[in-house]
Amino acid sequence: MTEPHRPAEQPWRRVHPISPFIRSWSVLLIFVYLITSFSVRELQSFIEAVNLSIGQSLLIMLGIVVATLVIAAGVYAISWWFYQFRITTDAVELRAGVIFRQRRYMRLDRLQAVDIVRPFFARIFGLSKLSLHAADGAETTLTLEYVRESEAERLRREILYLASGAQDDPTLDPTSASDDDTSPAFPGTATAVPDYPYADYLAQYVQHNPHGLNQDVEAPNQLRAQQAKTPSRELLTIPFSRVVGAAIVTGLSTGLMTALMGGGVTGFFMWLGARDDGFQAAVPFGVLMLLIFVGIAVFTTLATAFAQVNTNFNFTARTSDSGVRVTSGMLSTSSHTIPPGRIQGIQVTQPLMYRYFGWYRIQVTVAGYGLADPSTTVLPVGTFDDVVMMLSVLAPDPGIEYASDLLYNAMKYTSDDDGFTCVPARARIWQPVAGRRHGYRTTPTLLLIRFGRLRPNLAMIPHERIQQSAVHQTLTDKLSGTASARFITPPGPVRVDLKNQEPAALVQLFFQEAEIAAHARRISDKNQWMAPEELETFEKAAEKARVAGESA
Amino acid sequence: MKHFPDDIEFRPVRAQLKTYRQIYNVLSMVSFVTVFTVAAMIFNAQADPDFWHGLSYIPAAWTLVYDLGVIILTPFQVRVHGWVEQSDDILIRSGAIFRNYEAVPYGRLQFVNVKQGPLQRKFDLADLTITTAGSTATISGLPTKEATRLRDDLCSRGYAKLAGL
Repeated sequence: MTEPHRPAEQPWRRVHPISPFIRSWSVLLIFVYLITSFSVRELQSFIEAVNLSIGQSLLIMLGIVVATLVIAAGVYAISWWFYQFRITTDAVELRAGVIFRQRRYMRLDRLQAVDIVRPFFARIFGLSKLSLHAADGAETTLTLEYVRESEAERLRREILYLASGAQDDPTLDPTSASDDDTSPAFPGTATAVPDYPYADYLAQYVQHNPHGLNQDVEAPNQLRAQQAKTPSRELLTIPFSRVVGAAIVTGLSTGLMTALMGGGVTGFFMWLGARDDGFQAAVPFGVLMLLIFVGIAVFTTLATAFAQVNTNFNFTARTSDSGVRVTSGMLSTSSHTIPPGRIQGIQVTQPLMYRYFGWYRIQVTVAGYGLADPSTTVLPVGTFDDVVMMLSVLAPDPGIEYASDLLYNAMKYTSDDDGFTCVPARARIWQPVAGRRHGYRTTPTLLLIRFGRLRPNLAMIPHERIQQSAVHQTLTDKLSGTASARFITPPGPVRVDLKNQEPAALVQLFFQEAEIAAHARRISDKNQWMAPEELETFEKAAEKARVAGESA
Repeated sequence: MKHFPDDIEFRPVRAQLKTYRQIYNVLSMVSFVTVFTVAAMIFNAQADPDFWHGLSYIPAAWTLVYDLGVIILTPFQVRVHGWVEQSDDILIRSGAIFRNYEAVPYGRLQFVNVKQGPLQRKFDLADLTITTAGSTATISGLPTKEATRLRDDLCSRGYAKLAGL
């Protein structure tokens, strides 16, 4: 691992021997319970039939238990022996199973995120689960369960290092101990913009995003040298008081919902009973219902609050060469690493109950996580400063000065006082509350879409991350002469639809975004975020395809 | 949408798509309306007829009205449906009343799928579905030859302009 070129043939490795037991301990528990209860009943009739003494029957009992354990241990040993994985230069492979063979092969350049999760039971044994998320949705996650905590950390570093495409450069090896900073002074940033279509837009992009086009295209070697060995930096920690506060607030709102529902049902029964010809048992029944619902409300409040505290306890975010890293958890802990350029969209929201405290939540769309994964939340509860700090790492440079002002205005105000569009007055009837806030705005690097008045929500999508765009008209659009659009990213929590906007401007935005998406590869190439030859291979492939197209 | 530039020449899909869709629509209308009506009649026969039992005909009536609407709209939808291959992306237009324009950059496509059922084969029609990491876009009613040509073209252009995620 220390030599610059890894041998292509890597040995197969195995996980921790105890892991089959941890994977299936609940199943084992049920199994043991069934076996013992069954054999006790069998034994009783057997004892009665054969007249055995207590000692003899106990011995038989013990024999059954031991036999079960031995069989279980044997099965576990076999399952452990055949659960193997290896990490080669360009893929992680996993093979498991004896009768039903399972073979997983995940290319490292498709890697989207790395999670280390420690469920409570595994944590007792000091073990962790390593999940590798690929680009093709939630089903393609490759999980290695379970390895020692230190081993998990080492594997994570190794995989990220290999995925970064930097293995040809020994100075970048995370395992080598050289500390000398050999990076030369960064060459002048005023390099000419390459002659791409849409050049003026790109010029702004380059001007405001010095880590974008210039270095990737012009001077990859300097880029690598400069980025080498950036020390990991802690961004923020959420204080325990805020975690508890947010948990109570969220728990209360969930509980309140339940209570409201209960109140409604109770009221209905009271009303039934209060009528003259009503059925008399309704009032006591209603009271009973009320008590039950209050009980449920208290329970949901406590459960939600505890779950929140458990997940968000000791929440820490850091940044390093291999991306953003978020760790949290009390009973079961987890750590998520998202390499650079894997974030498809960012969303800052302020739930209703957070408004009084001035708290915000950040969610991201990452291709491997999908829609409902809790790890899409990269900041569960934070102040405005925390939001700005996280965004400085998550989002590229917004391309304008005073980005935090933009963010503040976007979250707080309506379009009368900032650069966002809004729903035109003739269509306001379809969005009476949020209409003045629902709109979009573009910066050289980002498309910002804002929703909601009671629960402000700001979605930020880097232009080059938009996969596909559509502009269409719904019934309400037809009636008021407006248009709607969707800027589709991979599935995730970030909202990407625009409704009831001024059609002329929206069509213009549609064409702009389509054009930027068409040249996206030129702007940002992040499959292996440190490999300079990546772009060359692309050029070669393009040339080959062009020649093939001509000869055909 | 009158604000959409009209200097883009969309290539229309095959006119036989109309015939195919109408056959499909009529078949589905007849079968669904029959099923719902029979179900309602059986339901009504189980109990004494009452005024409220007229409500059980709502599914059948709704299906009839909806499918009639679809049958009326289909010619217009087919006339509007079309695509244009631009230098960097493919633009698809659809929808007679609720117009929808969709742009898929070549560099974003993950795979292209051509599908053809037995009835479609009769009319030489094929559906082409383009899948990106986010969603899909479909052109229906292409001639089979054109569909395969477009599939190969899109794939080679997609490879040339590969952008990944």
